[in-house]
Parts: sequence; structure tokens; C-alpha cells
Amino acid sequence: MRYLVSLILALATLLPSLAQAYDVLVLQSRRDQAYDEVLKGFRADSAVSRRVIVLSDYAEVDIVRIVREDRPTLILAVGDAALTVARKVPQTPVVTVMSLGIHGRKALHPNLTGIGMFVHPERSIRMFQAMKTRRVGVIYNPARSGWYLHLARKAAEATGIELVTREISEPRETIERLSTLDRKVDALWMLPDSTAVTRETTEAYFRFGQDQAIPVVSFAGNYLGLGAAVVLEIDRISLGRQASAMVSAILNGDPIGSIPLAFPKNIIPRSNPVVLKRLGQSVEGDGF
Amino acid sequence: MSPPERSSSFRSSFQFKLFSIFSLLTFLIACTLCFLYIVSVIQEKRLAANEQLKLRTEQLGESARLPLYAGNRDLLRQLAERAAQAPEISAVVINDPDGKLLAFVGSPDDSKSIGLISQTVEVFSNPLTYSVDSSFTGGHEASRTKIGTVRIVRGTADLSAAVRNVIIFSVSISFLFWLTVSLFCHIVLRQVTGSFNALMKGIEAVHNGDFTSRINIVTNDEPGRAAVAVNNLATELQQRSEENSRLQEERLNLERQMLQTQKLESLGVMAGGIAHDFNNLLQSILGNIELASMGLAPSSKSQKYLANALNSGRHAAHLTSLMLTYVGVGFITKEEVNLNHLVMDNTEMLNTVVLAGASMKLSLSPELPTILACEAQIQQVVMNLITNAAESIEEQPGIIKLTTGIQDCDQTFLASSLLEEKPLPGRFAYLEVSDNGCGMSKETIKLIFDPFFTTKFTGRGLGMSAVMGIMRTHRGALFVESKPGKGTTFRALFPVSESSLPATDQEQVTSASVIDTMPLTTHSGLALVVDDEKSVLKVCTKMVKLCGFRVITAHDGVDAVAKFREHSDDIAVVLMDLTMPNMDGIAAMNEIYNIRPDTKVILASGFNEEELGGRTTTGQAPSGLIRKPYSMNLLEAELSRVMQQAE
Repeated sequence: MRYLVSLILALATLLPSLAQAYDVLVLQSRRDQAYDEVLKGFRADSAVSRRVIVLSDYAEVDIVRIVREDRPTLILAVGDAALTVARKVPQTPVVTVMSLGIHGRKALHPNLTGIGMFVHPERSIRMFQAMKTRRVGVIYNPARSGWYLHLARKAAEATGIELVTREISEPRETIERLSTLDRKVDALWMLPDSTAVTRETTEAYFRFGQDQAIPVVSFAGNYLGLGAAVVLEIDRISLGRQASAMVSAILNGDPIGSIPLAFPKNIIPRSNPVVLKRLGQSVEGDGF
Repeated sequence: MSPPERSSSFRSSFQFKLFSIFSLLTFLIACTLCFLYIVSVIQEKRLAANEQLKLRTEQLGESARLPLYAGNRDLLRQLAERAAQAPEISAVVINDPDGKLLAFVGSPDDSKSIGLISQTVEVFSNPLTYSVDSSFTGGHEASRTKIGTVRIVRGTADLSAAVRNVIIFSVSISFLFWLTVSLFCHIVLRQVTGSFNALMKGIEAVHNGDFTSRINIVTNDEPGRAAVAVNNLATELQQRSEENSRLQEERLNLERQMLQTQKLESLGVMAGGIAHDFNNLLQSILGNIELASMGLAPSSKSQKYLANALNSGRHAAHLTSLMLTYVGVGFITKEEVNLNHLVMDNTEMLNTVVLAGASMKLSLSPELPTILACEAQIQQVVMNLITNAAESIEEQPGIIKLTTGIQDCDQTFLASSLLEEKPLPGRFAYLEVSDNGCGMSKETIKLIFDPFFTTKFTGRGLGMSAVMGIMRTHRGALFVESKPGKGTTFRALFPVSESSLPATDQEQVTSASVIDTMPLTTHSGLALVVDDEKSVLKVCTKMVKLCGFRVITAHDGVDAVAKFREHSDDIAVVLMDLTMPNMDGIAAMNEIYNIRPDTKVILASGFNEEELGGRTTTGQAPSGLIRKPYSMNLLEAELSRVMQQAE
């Protein structure tokens, strides 16, 4: 009898673990169409087992217990909130997408890799080149986007485009710093810098562009409706596939430290023809 | 009606009360609507001002979002100053989220002043913009960040001016509305209450005794129907009033008639008394004169003086007779009289009355019936009317027309007779005397029958009085038509005698009047002579004795009855005065007839025989009547006639 009870307890304890065993724990910040599209791309090219947890469905997720119990091989964090939660288990490799703070955290977390939200600087410079702009104004927070400006400046210099940059440390400085670009730039480049671009300051970019009659190049399709002339938007399904490839490499034994942070591979350029027409602007060459 | 009374009457009228109610009600409605409209406009304008201020504030908030976020005071002040340039804006205040003042334009005290309105708008981050994170994930942003507040204060001077204009306009419109409605009410009420007013006027007219006025009925509503009832009432009242007037007039006529009757009765009593005494005196005088004359030789010189005295006495007797005739108690003896014969028999005498220049024409009806009348009195009527006609013409050329005829008269026609006593309807023979003389006025006509009234200097004023008395005695009617300057027509109507015969077939009636020239006849037997006047008793005793009778005398009725009872078998005839103390002649005659019914009784009186009617208890009339003063011949003739009846 004692053996029978022990057997039942062992089965009750072990069988669920066996049933829930998977390779990738997917932490999704919230239910959002953009995140769903990324996961759709991820699932399309990946056959790995996974468990998806939408954080916004729970008041609090005990990620440590879940990882301890489920023992996933790695965590795919979708969004900044998911990345924050995933960093609570530093021993588990984390691949992150749709996260803005990835570059700042990479240095602190060796088990972290992923795909950033910045478009490759050369791609952006190529767009300005196609728009025949020579002086491009950029507002940025060095703490957040200094690394990108470093790359962008190099790419710009190679093409003869001058980046007129203004550094800020907090959002309120954006408007004042923008005013210093008055009549000094041919285009304004909005970076996915959460200090430089906030809900309060977004309007200032487009008002500046409108006042100066210069195109504003942004990073998300939403801004087209607010006055952006051109956006270089990340293809989210492609982003998912890119993440899937990165996850597969790790699962196949590549050490995560050998996999650097990547730029999104597939960028979709979009424009607002009305704004372009008002500005008398056109995009030539391989801008699109 | 004086103005204050008219005003008081109007104030208490139904129309004024309704008008006051409607006017007051309309005034209250107009005031209420005016008040509600003004309040509504004030609220609307204040609401619009608030909405406008809110929009302005929101607009400023939109404009100030970025500089507010950036804390750009200069730019915020510029925006505030620009916003403050709008009319009526007294203050613009921009604060950061912590309440720290970033920009202010205006006076700080204005914000606390009464009559200011203000709007405060909290400025949040633009809901249409995205953060970096939300821009990647589809733009869903959960929270909005408060950037600061914008407050604009504005004055209400423009609102006050607008409200003042609205009040003036509304009050003017309300007043005009009230005035118009009141005028309309007045017109309508005047129309509606017109029937009431007409009804009230009619009722007041009836109340004031004007029963001839009628209410003009123009509507068939309640007042109209009431007006019909009032009109009917007025008609009935008018009829009653006329009936009352008629009855009043009849009563007055009756009173007048009664007064006249009483006057006549009084005059009759007086005249009768006077006539009785006069006749007694005249009887004594004339009898003694006659006896004296009989005692003298016919050649005596005294005969002439006695004859003069006798004529004067007879003239006095005629005057007494006229007086009695006026009061209708004259001594008459009625007989069948034909007016044509009477006129023809007296033509000559009548012509003597007509003065030179005037002429008399006769127009006599050939089929004229007889009347029962005293011929002498009818003759006097004709004479008096002809005399008056002739005197009205005087000596100017004129025509007096005397007409006789027959006329059937009803009561209506006879009611216009000048005499107080109206005869019964029937057939009448009339005698009409018309002239084209000076005529009479209505006032004169009313006085012509009064005794001693005359328009002539020499007249006695008894002619028409005598005519009236004669007509009254004969139950006739008298009519007159006269106009000053046109002439006068008198028509005297006499009831036709029931046994009348046309004039052509009637026998000449011989008058049984006195035959003064009859010779004395000698009688025999005992005669009882009764009179209360001793002088008369003596004369009559002597006159009866001269007729051959033995005489016993009595001084009154009682004495006469006693004497007759004592000598009833011997007394052949009784000559008795009618009016005596203790027992008059009729009573004494009745007693005598009771003693011996076949007694011959001759009553002597100045009254007519109709006075005896109804006073004889035995049903026997006196054997003879003799009028005082009587002559010797007349007495002898009457005694002879009575004594022949006995034989």
C-alpha cells in the first residue's frame, strides 16, 4: 500500500511536468495586434515547442516559478514589459523583440540578445539621399540613442549628408531644442528615442516640419496621419521570422553571447503623398 | 347723466369688468412671457458667452500645449496677450500642472469681481499623438498626461448691454402686445356686450316708465332672448299703462260728470227752491193783480197799470222757467213733435232773429219721424241756436243753414256728445244749425254751457245753458264743430218716439196747453185748496171760488189729508201745492187716493211732471198739473178739464 501511494504521488507530481515541457517561453507584454503579427512570423518559421503567456492577462506573473517548473530553454520577450519580466531570470537566455531598451540592457545582461527597433542607419540615410536632403536634423537622448547616432553619422558622412543633431536629456527640452533647428535643416529625422519622442513632443516635430516646410521622416506608420512625409516601418511578421531564426540558432547550440543585437532586416518604406505634394518633395532612386 | 355718473356707471358695467379682467390677465401673461423671455435670453447669452469663452480657452489650451509643456513663459505670455486682445477678455491665466503661474495678462482683481465669467481648461497631452512605444504597437495609449491649465476671464459689459436691449425690446413688444390684445378685447367685448347694454338700456327705460321704447334685437343669444322678454313686458306694461290712463280718464270723466251732476243737482235744488218761492210770490202777485183787474171796470185807468204789472210778473215767471229748464226740472209736457213742422211754423219768427246781410237756408228731411218732446222747449232750442249763429255772423254777409234729418247712432258716436249723460244708441231725429261766422276756439267750446258765460256784451249767458238743460231733459245729444274764422255747426239729436209716424201721416197734435182766452165756466161743489204760503192760499182760494166752487183750505199736506178725511164725500176737487213742509203734495195725494181713489187732484208746481215718477205709491197720477204762477183762465181751464174727466 505504501508503495502504491508513493507511486500515485510520483505520477501526480511528474506527469504534469512532462505534459508542459517546452523549449521557448513566450512572454507577450499585452494583447496587441503588433505583437500578434510578430508572433505570427515567429510561429511561421519555427517548430519549437513554446508556451505563450500574455502578461496583461494576469495581475502578477511569477516568472521565476514558471521558469523553475517549466525549465524552458530560452525566453522570447515581446515588448519592453515582457523584457523587464524576463530579466528576473538572468540564467535563462532571452531573445527580445519590439523592445526599445534592448541596447541599454545588453551590456548588463549577457544572456540577452534580440532585434532592435532602430532601422539600420544606412537604410535611413539612403532614404534621405533619395529625398535629396542635405541637412537632416535629429533630436536624441545620448543615453538612449547615442550608439545609433554614432552609426548614423558615419553612414551620413559617407553619403555627404549632414546630421544636425541636438541632444536632450528630458522630453521638455525637445521643443526648445527643436526651435534651435530653425532654418538649419532640410529634413527632420525622428528616432525611436523615448526621450526625444513622447506624446507631448510628437506634435512639435510635425508643427516644426510644417512651419519650416521640410519633410519629417519617422519610424512608424501612425505618424503619416499626423504629418510625417515618409516612414521606415519595421515589417513585424518579418521581425518574427528573424526572431525565430535567432531562437533556432540558440536552440541549435549557438551560444547566445555570440549572437549580437540585430537591426530589423525587412523595412517597409511608406509615405504620405499629400504631404510630399505640399512640400514639393519626391523620393527618387532606391529610397523605397 | 353727468360725467361722474357716467364714469361710475361705466365702471360698474359688465363690459368694464370683463375688460378689466382680460386686460389684467393679458398684462400678467405679457409680463410673464416677457420675464421668461428675458430670463431665457439672459441665460442663453450667458451660456453662449460661456461656451464661446470655453472654446476660446480650449483653443488657447491647444495653442499653448507645446509651450506649456516646454515651460516657455515668453511664448505663453505672447499667447495670453493675443488671447486677451479679444473683446471683453479681462484676464488670461496659464498655470503648470502644479499650479505655478506661467503667464498672466490682466488685472488680478478682475478675476474676483462680480459679473465676470471665467473658464478654466486643463491641458492634456495630445490624444492624437503617440509615444514611441505606442507608435510601434498600434497607437493605444492608456493615460493622458496633464500639462497645465489655462483660464480666461471675461467681463459681462457686452452681455449687460445686450440684455438691456433685449429688455427694452421685450418690454416694448409686450406693451404693444398688451395694447393690441386689450384693444381687440375692447372691440370684441363691445360687440359681445352690445346686446347686454341694449338690454340694460331697455330695462332702464322700462324702469323709468318709458314703455314705448323697444330694444333693438340683433342676436338670438341669451341677452337677445331676454330682450324679447323685456320687449314683451314693455308691451304689456304699455297696454296696462294705456288701460290705466284710459281708466284714469274715465274715472276723471266720471268724477267730472258726478261733479257736474252734483253741481246741477245743487243748482237744481237752489233753482227749484228759488223758483218755488218766486213762483209762490209771483202766484200771489199775479193772482192778486188779476183779481184786482177783474174787480175794476175794463175802462178803468188802473187797468193799464195792472196790465203792465201783469206782464212784468209773467216775464219774471219766464226767467224762473228758464232757470228751471237749465237744471232740467222745468215744467214741461212732452208730446209728439215733428221738427219739420216746428221749424216751418216758426220760420217767420226765426227770420226776425237773422240780422241784415245774413240769410237762412232750410234743408228739411221729408221722412222725418216725430219725437216725444216739449214743443215750446224745442222751439227755444232752435231759437237760441239761430240767435247764436246770427250773432256770430253779425252784420257781415253769411249763411245760416238749418237742417233736419235722421241718424242712426251707436254708442261710440254718442260718447262724443257734449252732454254728460249719454243717451242709449238708436235712431235719432236731428236738428242742425250751421253758420260761417266767427267760430269758436276749443277753450270757448268748453265754457259755452256754463251759466252766465257769454262772449257778447249784452248777453245774459243763459241761452246755451238752457239748450243743454232742454237736451238733457229730452235725453238727447248735442254735438258741435267749430273753428275760429270758419264757422260753427251745432247738431241736436232727439230720440225718435216709439210711436212716431212720418210727418206726412201724423195728425196734428193739439196742445193741451193753456188757453188764456177761454171764458170762465161756473162749477159747483166743494174744493180743497192746499198751500203752505198764506198769500198764495188766499189768492188761489179766491180764484177757485170765482170758478164756482166752495172752498176749504189746508196749510200743509197733513192738514189737507185731515180735512179731506173729514169731507171726503163732499170734496169734488183738490188743488194742492206740490212742495210743502211736513207732508208734500205727492204724499198727501197718495193719502187722499188711499181714502178715496176717484178724487180729482190737481197739483200745482214749478217742476215738470216727470218729477212725480216713482213717487206715487198708489200707482195713480194726479188728475191735473198746473204750473205756477197760473192765471185765472189757466186754472179754470184745468179745473174744467179735470171735472170733465170726472163726468
